[in-house]
Amino acid sequence: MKMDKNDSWNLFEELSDPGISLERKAALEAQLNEDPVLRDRLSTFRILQQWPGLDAADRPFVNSRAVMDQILLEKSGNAVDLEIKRTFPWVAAAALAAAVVLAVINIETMGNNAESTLDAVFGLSIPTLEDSLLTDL
Amino acid sequence: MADIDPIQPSDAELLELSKAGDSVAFRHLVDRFHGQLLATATGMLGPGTEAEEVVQETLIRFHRALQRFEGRSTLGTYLTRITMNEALKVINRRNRWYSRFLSRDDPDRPTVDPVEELGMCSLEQNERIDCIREAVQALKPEFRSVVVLRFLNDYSTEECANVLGIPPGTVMSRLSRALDKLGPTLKGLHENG
Repeated sequence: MKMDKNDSWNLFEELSDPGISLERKAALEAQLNEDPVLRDRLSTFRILQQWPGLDAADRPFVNSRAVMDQILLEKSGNAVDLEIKRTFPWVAAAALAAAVVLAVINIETMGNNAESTLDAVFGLSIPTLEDSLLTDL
Repeated sequence: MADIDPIQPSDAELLELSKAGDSVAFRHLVDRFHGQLLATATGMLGPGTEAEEVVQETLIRFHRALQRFEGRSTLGTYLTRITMNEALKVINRRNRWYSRFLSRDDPDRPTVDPVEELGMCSLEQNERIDCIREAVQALKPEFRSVVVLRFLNDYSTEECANVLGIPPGTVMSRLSRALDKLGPTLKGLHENG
C-alpha cells in the first residue's frame, strides 16, 4: 500500500530517533527500501542529518561583539533622546519665564519712554531727534 | 525570586536580568543564541554579510522588544522565528530585484526550479558542506525554510510548524517534497560518503 507523504515522514522521524531498537530500525529500513521513492528520500534524509555537524565544523568564529556594540550604540542614542525629552519641558519653561521676567522689567523700565506696550516689552524707546538723524545718515 | 546559577544561568534568568537593564546578561543571551541564529540565516541565505546582517537585525529587534516578550514560546523559537522572517524578507527582496531587472525572456532568468539545474555532487569531505548548502539554497523559500529548521536547527515537526505558522501536516509534506528535489543533487554525497 502506498503511503502518503506525512506517513512516510513519520517513519523517517521514527528511524532517526536515537532510542529506536535495532529490530524496529531494521524493519523500518526494510519497509522504506521496498519503495524506490522512499529509498531515495531516506538516503537524502541521512545526508541532511550530517548537515549540522558539517556546518558546525565549517562555521567561522562567531563575533557577537559587533552586534552588542550596535545594540549599545542604539541604547546610548535612545538614552540621549530620553534625556532630551525629559529636560526639554523644563528648559522651555525656564526660557519662557525668563522672557516674561525680561518683558516685565522692560515695561517697568521703559514705561512712558516707549511708543506702545509692545515696544516697551522689547525695550524700544521713543526715537529721539538724534536717533532719527543717525538713522538718516 | 529564584536563585540564579552563576555558572550557567537559564534563558529565563538572563531574560529577567536583561529586562531589568543588565547589559551583561543580555550579552550572555546574545552569545548563547548568536551561533544558532547565524546557522539558520546562513542556511537560508548562504554564507556572507547578508546572513550576518539578518542576525544583527534579529538581535536588535529583540532588544527593542525585550519588555514585550511574554515567553509564550521558548526564547530560541522566538528568535529563530524573527531570523526566519528577516531571511524571507531578504529572499523576497532578491526575487523582486530579479523580476524588476530581468525580463521574462532574459537568458539569465531561471526558468525551472534552480535545484533541478544543479549537477550531482561528487565531492571530498571538506566540500560536502558547500554542496549541501548550495543545494538547499536552490530550493524555493517555502521548502528551504522547513529543511533549515528541521535539519540544521534540529527542530521537531511541531516546532517547525510553530516557527513558520503553518500546520504540521504542511511541514511534513514540504519536507518530503524537498527531499525529492534534493535527492538527485545530493545522491553523489551518499555514494561517496
